[in-house]
Amino acid sequence: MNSKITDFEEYKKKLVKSSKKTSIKPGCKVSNIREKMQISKTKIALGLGLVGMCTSIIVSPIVAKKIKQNNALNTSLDEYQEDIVVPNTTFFINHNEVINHTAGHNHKEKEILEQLKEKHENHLVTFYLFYQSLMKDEQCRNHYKQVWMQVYNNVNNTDYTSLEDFLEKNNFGTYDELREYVALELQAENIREGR
Amino acid sequence: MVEAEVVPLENGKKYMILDTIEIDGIKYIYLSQIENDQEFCIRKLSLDELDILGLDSEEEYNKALKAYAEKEKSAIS
Repeated sequence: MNSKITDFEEYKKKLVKSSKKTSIKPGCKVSNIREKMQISKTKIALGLGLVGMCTSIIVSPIVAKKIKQNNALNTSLDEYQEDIVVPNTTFFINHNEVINHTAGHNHKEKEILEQLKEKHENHLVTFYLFYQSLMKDEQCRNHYKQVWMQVYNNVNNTDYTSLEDFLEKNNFGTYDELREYVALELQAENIREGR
Repeated sequence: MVEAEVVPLENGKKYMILDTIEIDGIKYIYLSQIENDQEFCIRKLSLDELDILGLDSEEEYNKALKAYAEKEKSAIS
């Protein structure tokens, strides 16, 4: 899992490096002669997605402060979570059943995770959405290490012991940093998928 | 298929214009290479908009990218 993240981050870094090389050319001048061309929407979405990906690693520290001041993004992120997680599960109705299960044997949590993994390639995004949704329930908050954190590890072949452990292993200083990162990644995903 | 504007750059390759954002009176254009989806770049227009210019520094690149992120954010949220 960690090598996959590293590969993804490396890919983005290479993308930015290449983009800078083509963009930063002091004194370079070409005529602004434009022509019209028929291009597929997919190609345009891919192009926009690349820009979106680059903003997530370069701009994140710059816009993070603005995000904190602007609840609009947080609100949209919360709405996004509701859309993705709640309608397709019965987790909250059956949380007592979930907590009484032995870790790794609860299919509802596993289903939630699988559903999120299908929709999001980035496992940091998946983890955040999974964690944030389950943490809304008080009993889950008290039992997360014993139950769904282990479910998460089983599904993803990881060995996280807690939220703090997850943050540390993925180089996030705080939970807010993870949240900001995920907000930007979701924006990039939206653009890549033409939403 | 949709109609997009395409410009050739100094390397002879064609780029489609993904977006244009004006920052401090300068128009920045966001380009993606037609033949290679993995390559995008940012350039700016001269004041008379007759020429496409290279960016001067990494700082300018970051500023232009930041503007894109903010535009994108306001469009989605």
